[in-house]
Amino acid sequence: MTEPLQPHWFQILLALADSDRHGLGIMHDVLDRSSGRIRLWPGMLYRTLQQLEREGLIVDAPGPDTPSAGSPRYYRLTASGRRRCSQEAARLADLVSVARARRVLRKG
Amino acid sequence: MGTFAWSRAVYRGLTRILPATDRAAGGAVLEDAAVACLARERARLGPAGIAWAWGRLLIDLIATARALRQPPRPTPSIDPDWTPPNRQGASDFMDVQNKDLRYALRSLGRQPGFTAVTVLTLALGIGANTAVFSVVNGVLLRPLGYPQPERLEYITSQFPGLGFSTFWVSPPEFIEFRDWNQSFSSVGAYSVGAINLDTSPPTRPVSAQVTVELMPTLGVRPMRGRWFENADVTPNAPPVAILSYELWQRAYGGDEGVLGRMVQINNRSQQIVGIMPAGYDVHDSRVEIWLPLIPNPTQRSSHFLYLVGRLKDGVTRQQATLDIDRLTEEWKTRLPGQHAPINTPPNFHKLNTKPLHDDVIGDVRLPLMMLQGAVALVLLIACANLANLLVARAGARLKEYAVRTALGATRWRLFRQLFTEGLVLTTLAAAVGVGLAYLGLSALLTVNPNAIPRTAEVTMDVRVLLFTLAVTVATGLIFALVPLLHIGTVRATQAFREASARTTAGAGRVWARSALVVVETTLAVMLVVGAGLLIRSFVNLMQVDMGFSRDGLSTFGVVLPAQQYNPQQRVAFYDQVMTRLRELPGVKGVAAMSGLPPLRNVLANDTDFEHIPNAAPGQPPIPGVLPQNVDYWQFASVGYTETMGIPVVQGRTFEPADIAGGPVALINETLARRFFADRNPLLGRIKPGFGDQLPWFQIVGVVKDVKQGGVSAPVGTELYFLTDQGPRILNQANTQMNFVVRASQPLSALGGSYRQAVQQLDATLPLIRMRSMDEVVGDAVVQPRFFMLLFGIFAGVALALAAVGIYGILSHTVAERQQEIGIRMALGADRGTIISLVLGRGLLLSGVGIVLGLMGSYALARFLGTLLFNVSATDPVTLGGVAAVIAAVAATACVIPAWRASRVDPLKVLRDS
Repeated sequence: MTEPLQPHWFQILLALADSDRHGLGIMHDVLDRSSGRIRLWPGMLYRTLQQLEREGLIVDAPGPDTPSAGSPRYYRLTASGRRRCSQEAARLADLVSVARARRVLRKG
Repeated sequence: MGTFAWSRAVYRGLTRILPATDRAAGGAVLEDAAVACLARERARLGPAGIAWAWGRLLIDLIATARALRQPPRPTPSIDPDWTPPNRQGASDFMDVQNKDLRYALRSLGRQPGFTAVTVLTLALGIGANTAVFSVVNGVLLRPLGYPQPERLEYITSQFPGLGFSTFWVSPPEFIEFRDWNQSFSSVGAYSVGAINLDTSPPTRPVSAQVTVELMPTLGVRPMRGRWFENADVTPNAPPVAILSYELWQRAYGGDEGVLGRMVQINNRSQQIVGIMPAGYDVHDSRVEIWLPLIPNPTQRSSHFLYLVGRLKDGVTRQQATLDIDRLTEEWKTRLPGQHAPINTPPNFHKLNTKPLHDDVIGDVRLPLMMLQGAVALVLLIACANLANLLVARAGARLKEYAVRTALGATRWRLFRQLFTEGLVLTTLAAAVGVGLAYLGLSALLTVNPNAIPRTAEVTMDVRVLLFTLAVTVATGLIFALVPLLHIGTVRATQAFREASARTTAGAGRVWARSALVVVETTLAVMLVVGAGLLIRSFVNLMQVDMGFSRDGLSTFGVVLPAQQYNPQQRVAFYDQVMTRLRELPGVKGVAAMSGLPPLRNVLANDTDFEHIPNAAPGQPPIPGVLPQNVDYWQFASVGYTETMGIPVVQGRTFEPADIAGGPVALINETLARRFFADRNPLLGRIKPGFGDQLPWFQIVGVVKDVKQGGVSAPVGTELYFLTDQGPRILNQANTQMNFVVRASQPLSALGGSYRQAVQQLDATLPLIRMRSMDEVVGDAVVQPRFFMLLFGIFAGVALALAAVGIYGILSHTVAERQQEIGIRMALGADRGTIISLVLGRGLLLSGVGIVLGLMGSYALARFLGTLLFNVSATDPVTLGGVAAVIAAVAATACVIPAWRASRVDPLKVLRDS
């Protein structure tokens, strides 16, 4: 069992799970998916992306446009990033099933 | 989105705290994200969301800067066995800082109530300081918007014999000064007015007629097109005009095609040849359209020009002044008797120069500095309140500090932790405060755009934000120092004892609290005295007898283009307008006059009095004889004094029979006193100007003084002519007329009919400044009202803060002295004794504060004195009233803690201990 992933790391990895996105795209995806509950801030996002890259969980991806000086960086999940993401999801799923079994959380 | 463009720029500035490599790599992404966050929070929380978002962005950025400056550290989730390397020096320092920050955030997060109260109180203080500093910065500190503005001088003339220390310059004087002076590289002249422009509906923008030298002297190039050229001021040159950026946007929607287009100015075709950049102006006149002026060298006695000169490089102001003195002497010999007669004193009609910036600011420097002082006091009171909270908190955290000291924390370490905590609070407060300041300022300047000069230049620039930063850090320091000084006196062992046993508070803390109550009261008294005096002064101003009755009176102006209407037609037009106005329902009286009281520009017209001997032309005035000059001429219609409600003191007023009768004039009481001290004015005769073949005008009446030079200025001499006699006797009639209407219905109901009455006669005429007479008077006192309002607001805030502070301090004292009070009650003290114990202490302390505050106000009286009207800066009524109000507020603030003390249950208290 691996260590729990920090929640906003997990959110960012989730945002990249279905498509490559740039920073602003990640922010909007997280916001939409959580119905506005999880609000990332620019510095935090930038720092986290840097750390995730350093850990080898995400890499640069080619954007839809030809790169130029001002065009934003796109990010893509690496294989190990996807693995960490699914490990975390599995860990949370385990917790949920325990919660259900103990009737803390109702089904549905 | 304009707001976010501005926000983006600010945020970009803030990202400078990030390491350069990161800024280069992520700058644009960060800005995009920040703007998205601002939009998101605004959508979520409305306008308050912006302030909240800025607070969060700031914290986020600081945290990021700190994190990025640290060596990369893999998170434990990846490598649980990783051990930190031995870090030394700077990185160690940063690590401690980081810990402090986390600790501070945690400890503030645990006390949301304390944090919210503190942040809000400080936000008020910091916001008020930021707002006032924005004004001080825009008005006083920022240089004028021209190249090398410090070399620009404002040149005026003077007529000390007539009592004018600053007066206009006449066209020939301008030409001679321009050509003969040796200190200025260029000199230009201008005159401000207004013109009718053929927009639909017709508008009347502010215009400046400028000589061809003026714009090059100021040095700002047009944004499009060109300046005026010498070809524009030759006789028969095609008429041209230059637009301001603002008029270009407003009237022509920023259409580039307007360049070269012909427009109708005062019903005359003129070609637009240039557009000046945004904000371009001269002497804060808010000029919207620029027209060429051809100075007429024969108009030696019409003084109507303002002069601006640019000093030559290397020439100082002192040298320029000497040069002007030389020139003034030279004038007497070069043009004998024309500028100043020989043998007149050197100051007879000399020119003066002073920096353009000083003249633009005028006399608002002192009140603005005082306002800055006032908000500084408000912030101090806010800090005093917080210091009290902090001392209370320090008491509660004494044990924590004691433990930390015992474990080896140095005072420096404690200080740094407290400072970090203070900075987090003040930074949050600054973020909210800047938001408050922005909203407050925009509201204030929208309501009072003309109260002080240069309001268009008041913005929050980098200097304002730096000022706020300095205030924030200084306030943060107070946060760290107050508790630290307090702890400093407490030894660890005593702290343990004090914190564990519920005895009374240590003597040091009691002393500190008493001092805070005294300081708060003192500062509040000083502020409230200042505000009280300004309010009294303003009340006096509003009670000044203007000389006419304003009930139901409203006014508007009309200007007839001189090319289209000759004098007879003008007078006929004015009469037709008045006839139409009289027919409107509810209208009780209508009149027309050339000058609108109570605030007019002084005219200083030469006027010949039959009984006063004249000096020969070109000779100095005869010693001991009054200069024959009248401050104000007023051309009025029949019915003027009746409509305005101006009482006739002697003789009669204008009557319909005068229209076709002999030349008549009215004078005011001041003129009667000055020129007819020893004779009957009704036997006197006068004549406009000198030596003309004009008939004498018989004085037929003396009317009560009406204010013309402003509400607080003494009334000048005034001479009334009958407009209808103008064309026949003087061959002239004013092109500009003000109409006054007294009606039983408000202006809002009748304004439309007034407009119709005029525009049915000539649809191209705009109606100028339609206002009730109450508004006219209000506009004449806009500056005192502005400062009174601001001082009042700040004094109110100060009073509220001080009341809350006194209440808080006493409440806390009561809570701490519960045990003592319990014992006293157990030993037989009744409730009355306990109440008087607490109340007496509170009142004693605020009493000391009141006395100190009154002494402080007395010391500051000389600064306030110049701003006051008919009230002394040490006015005993105001001082006494303020003392009573503050005492009442302090007593109210003391009552609740005193009552609470009397409800202490001795049994419960003794059991608990």
